[in-house]
Amino acid sequence: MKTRDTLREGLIKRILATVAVLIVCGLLLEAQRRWHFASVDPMVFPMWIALALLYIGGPRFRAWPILVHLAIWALLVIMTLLILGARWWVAVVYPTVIFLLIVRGEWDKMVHGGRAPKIARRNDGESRSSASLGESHQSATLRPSTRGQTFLRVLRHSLIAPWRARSWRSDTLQSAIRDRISASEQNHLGEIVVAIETRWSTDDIRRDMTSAQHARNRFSELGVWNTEHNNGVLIHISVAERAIDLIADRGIAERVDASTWQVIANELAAQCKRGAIQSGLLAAIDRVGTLLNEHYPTSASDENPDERSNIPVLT
Amino acid sequence: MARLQRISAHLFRAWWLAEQQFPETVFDTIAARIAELEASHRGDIVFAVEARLALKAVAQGFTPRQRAKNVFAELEVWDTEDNAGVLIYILLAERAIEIVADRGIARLVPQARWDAICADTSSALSRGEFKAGAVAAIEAVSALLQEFMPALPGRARNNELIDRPVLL
Repeated sequence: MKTRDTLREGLIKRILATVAVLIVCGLLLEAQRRWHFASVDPMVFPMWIALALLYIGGPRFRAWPILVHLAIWALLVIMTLLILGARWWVAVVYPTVIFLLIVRGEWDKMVHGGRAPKIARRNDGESRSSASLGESHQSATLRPSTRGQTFLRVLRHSLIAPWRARSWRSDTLQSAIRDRISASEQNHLGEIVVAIETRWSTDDIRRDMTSAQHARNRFSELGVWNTEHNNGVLIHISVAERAIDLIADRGIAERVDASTWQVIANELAAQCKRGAIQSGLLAAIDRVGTLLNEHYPTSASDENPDERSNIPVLT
Repeated sequence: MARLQRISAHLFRAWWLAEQQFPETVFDTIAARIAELEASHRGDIVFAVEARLALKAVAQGFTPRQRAKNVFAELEVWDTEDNAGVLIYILLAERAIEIVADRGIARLVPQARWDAICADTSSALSRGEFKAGAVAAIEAVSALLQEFMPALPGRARNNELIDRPVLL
């Protein structure tokens, strides 16, 4: 039964792909045939191609805000109408098909050889300690967001967050963090990484991630795990979600009580609420440094390489 | 020129290949084999298959090696007690195999041993023996792990990572 279902699914995908390719070819032929009759600026056609390529290609595409998607789509429709004149149905059908293909992830499935990517990672539960604090989406047991909520969340991430993030991006704050981490790492073998993130990708929002899950992924991406003694600590601040997450690798996590991280996160959050971003962050770095110094002190015999960059990661 | 060849390989060489060569049944057998072999050592093997990379990345000279390192982070293969996770990554478009080992096991095993496994498997892949090549690679890596990190009698097996192959 299962195999028949997957077979049918594969067939539908192939038909969809064929239809999309046929429409593209027909459209190009049609445009070529009509080129001499169309009384439009000759620049429109290359611009249309460029826009279409931009639209269907590029791994970063899904990270763009939904408003950009809609704007490009509308532009595509208008330009196609300009080129083709009377053939209004082509102008509507082609962008709609491409749009639906992309939105439904069909494009990705075609690119990846006909099967949806499977995201399955671990067999067991958590092994690292983490503490998190955020305003929204804190628990996986909550019911999933509706489309409207997701849309509002995307808007918040793409429109409000960049404005809100200005105070986090100042040069004085960056250099202060860097200097404090460098000073702290003289006293212990651990590594502290600070990451300040303005917004999430639209994909992550659509997946209804919690800020803790998101910070865990960032822990992977930034390579904080890549230390000799497994004692990297990530202080992750998500500006759009107003969330603060501390993630400690298993080496330090098994020596420190899990609630300690939560206390540090709470304090940092309280400071940020009062507007004392810089002093709050530096205090948090100091407290993490004290913990690391307690459990991984430097000694003459151990070398203490700087395994992870001390410069805060701004995204 | 090599880059153009790579781009054309990623455009044309992997259509439906993941579906044909690695259907669910093959994934089942690989998963069973990994679970069976992991009982004899402290390592943890993760097997990942990818049909192709994004063309833009290939055009910029993104190598399978770099991709494998990213996958190592993404799939959290680093997250094991003894730092003994091993990722076997197969990129179908280039018939390429990459093995990424965590620092715990990497410092014990000489580099030549890994290279030998990679050479064997990539020749099997280029001959089109995908399933046999994959299983042989898993067995060879398990043998290495068994040699350098055998299971300790007193300690229960701690299966921390996913056994089932991951299709990226």
